[in-house]
Amino acid sequence: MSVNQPDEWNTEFEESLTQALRPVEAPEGFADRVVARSQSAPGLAKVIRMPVRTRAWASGAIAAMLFAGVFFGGQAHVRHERQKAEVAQQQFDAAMRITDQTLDQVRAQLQQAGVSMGD
Amino acid sequence: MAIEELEFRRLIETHQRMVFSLALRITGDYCTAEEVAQDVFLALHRDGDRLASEDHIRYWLRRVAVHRATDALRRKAVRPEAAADEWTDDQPYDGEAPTSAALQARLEELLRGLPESMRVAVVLRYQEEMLPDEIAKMLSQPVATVKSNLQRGLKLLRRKAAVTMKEYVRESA
Repeated sequence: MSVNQPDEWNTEFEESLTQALRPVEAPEGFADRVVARSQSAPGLAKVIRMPVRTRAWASGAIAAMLFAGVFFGGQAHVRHERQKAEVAQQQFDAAMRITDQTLDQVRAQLQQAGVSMGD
Repeated sequence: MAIEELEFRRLIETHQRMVFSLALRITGDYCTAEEVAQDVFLALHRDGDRLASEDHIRYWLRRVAVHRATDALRRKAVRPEAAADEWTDDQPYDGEAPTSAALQARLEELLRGLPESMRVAVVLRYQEEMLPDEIAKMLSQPVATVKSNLQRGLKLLRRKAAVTMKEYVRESA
């Protein structure tokens, strides 16, 4: 340790520190109180842990469920999108049909009125 | 599985001085130290079956006691760091060294004024007589950090001791 004081003081100081910091006795009856606490609330003192084998099994099951969820979720999403596309196609076809019919009617009325469409 | 009662009591009786002293020197408060020490042993009661040897148990108790005492100190929100700067004077002290007995009596009190990181390093070095690399491993800190905390802690303690002992001598004269 680098210090500003003379070496003999450093050594003496560190020795004094070691003496001053000798371990002190625990309070009277300390062990009894700890043992009593450990017995009075054993449920509180314990962390419930899953057995190792169960933990491995549970991890596998959770992973499988997640995989299945992602896979079937993806499939359902594709199916749903396909259905939406089919409905949209049907609606588009119906709209085109109605437009064609309307145009035909207009064309017929114009021909009846003697207006040439140029075709 | 928890440790059996007889074995648990033996472990408490073997290590209570070390655990309580660490907690006391780090928290600086007798009641908090007992609380911390009790919690450390309850944790041992819960998890002790994982610890294979007596050395492992001692190391584990030391480590848990230091961490829990540091947490307790932080919860108390006492900030000795605020007062630390006033003592970090680089000028050498030109007075006489205080006498050893009087110095020892004041050191424990002065230790409570050290910033947390320095206090923990000093306690582990001089109470537990651990080497800097052992302290570094226990605290998960670089060895250089531990050495720096030890040097600064010692310097601060020495200066405080020199100043307060000079005042003490002047008052009693």
